[in-house]
Amino acid sequence: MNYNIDYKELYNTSPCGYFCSLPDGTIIDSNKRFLEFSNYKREEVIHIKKFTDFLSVGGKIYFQTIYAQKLNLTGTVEEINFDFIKKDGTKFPVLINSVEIKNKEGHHIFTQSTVFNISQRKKYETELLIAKKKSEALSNELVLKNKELQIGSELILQQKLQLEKFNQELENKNKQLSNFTHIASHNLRAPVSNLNSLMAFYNESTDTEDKAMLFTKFEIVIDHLTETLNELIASVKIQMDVNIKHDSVTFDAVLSKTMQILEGKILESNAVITSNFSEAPDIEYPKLYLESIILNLLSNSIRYRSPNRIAKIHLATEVNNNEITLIVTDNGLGIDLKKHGHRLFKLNNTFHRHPDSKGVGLFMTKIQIETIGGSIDVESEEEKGTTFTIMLKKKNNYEYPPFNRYY
Amino acid sequence: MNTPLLIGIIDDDEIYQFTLTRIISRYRITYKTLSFLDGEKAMEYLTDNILIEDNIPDVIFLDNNMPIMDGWQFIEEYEKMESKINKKVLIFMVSSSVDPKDIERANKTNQISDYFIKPVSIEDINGVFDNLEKFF
Repeated sequence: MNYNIDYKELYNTSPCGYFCSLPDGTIIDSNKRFLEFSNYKREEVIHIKKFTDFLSVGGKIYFQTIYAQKLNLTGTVEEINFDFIKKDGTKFPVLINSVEIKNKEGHHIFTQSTVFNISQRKKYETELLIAKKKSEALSNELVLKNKELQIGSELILQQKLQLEKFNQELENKNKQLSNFTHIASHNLRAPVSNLNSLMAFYNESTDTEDKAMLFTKFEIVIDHLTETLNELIASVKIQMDVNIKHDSVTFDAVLSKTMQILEGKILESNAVITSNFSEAPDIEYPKLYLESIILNLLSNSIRYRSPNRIAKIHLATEVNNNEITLIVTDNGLGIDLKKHGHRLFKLNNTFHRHPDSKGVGLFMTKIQIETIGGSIDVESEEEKGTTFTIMLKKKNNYEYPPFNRYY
Repeated sequence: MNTPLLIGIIDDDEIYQFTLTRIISRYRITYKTLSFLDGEKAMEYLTDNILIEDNIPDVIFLDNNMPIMDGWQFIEEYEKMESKINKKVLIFMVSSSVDPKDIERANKTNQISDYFIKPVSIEDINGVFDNLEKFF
């Protein structure tokens, strides 16, 4: 095959515009495609327009400061993007490539440039950019939604924990109420029924001496009733005071204070008291309660010591599951828990014949411990000894999980 | 009945012991009372006198809420020795408890003839002594 290539035709119909300009920018020749791009007639351009006349103000500045400089320095410029302004003022994006043409002496005679119309490419680029922005926005939204979901699940978890806590509190209250029913039934009804019986006798009696005797009985019952009521008021006060202030308390300090209070009894009984609080030397706890708990347990251990051996009492702290446990062990009389376990912590229940036994100490101790959210357990064997294990619970033992746990 | 009726009162409440004794005293009956301040003391007495029929109470008024050994624990111990006692003993539980659980438990317990809620009325006591034969 033989082709007759018409270079003039090729020059004019090439898909890109060509133009030739003087070093000052004046266009001295162009192909037809270039004129088509610009919409000018040949005579309106050649020797009249400079390339910069087709550029915006910003384009002109860029041309002067970057394009011309680079061309001057390296003799070639490739793929510079401009907005090309047509005769009617509309514009489209172009890429310009230029080369300097020099004479034999190396002087710059003119510049040859090609102009590519990149409208399609720009449009595509723009679309890509928009798509990219959209996908970014979408992904941001997803991240946001994800965060919202995580926050939501975090909130639900917190609410669940909160509900569990409320539930626990309600259960405690319920227990306290049933305790109270038991107390009302046994500890209040009994003296009141005594008063009723005495009152009936008193009203029937015609004998002054008999009436005076009955009156002394009234006094005994009323004293007993007053005492029981005071104990009840004390216990209710503790139970109402759920938000009692927690102090920083040192177990050693509380123990030595308690031992001072019990000094006489310790000396008299020769009891040996040892302690090891190294695992948890201190705690956030209402100081008054801790003092009362230790005082009650310690005086119980001394009071119910075995006559057959020297009383040994050991106090220690342990940390289990972040909770501080106080353990008080003695080698005393012990108690048959099968028989008495269910009554051990009840008001006015006693299990040993001892003049100081009133059945108040363990009742109060349990209420104090449970009000703070702890629990008390007992192990005992007759003639071996007793161990009380008290889970005291720390202040704010209910902690929200860290908020950013899942991030 | 020519021999006096032997009445055991097991209750840690001394005022109640006094009022119950006073109510019993109104009933036209020859009687003797034995008083125990807790179940264990009563149980010790029964164990010591198990073979002496005349020393075993005919009627026991038993409190359920007492130190050392309460009413229910006394019943458990009594059950164990019951076959060795050559006498029918009527046990009445007298309690300040209005808890239906206590009342139901008393009804189910063979050793307990009846359950009275404190304060014990003259009518309650009359009911016991009027119908003594019925219980036996």
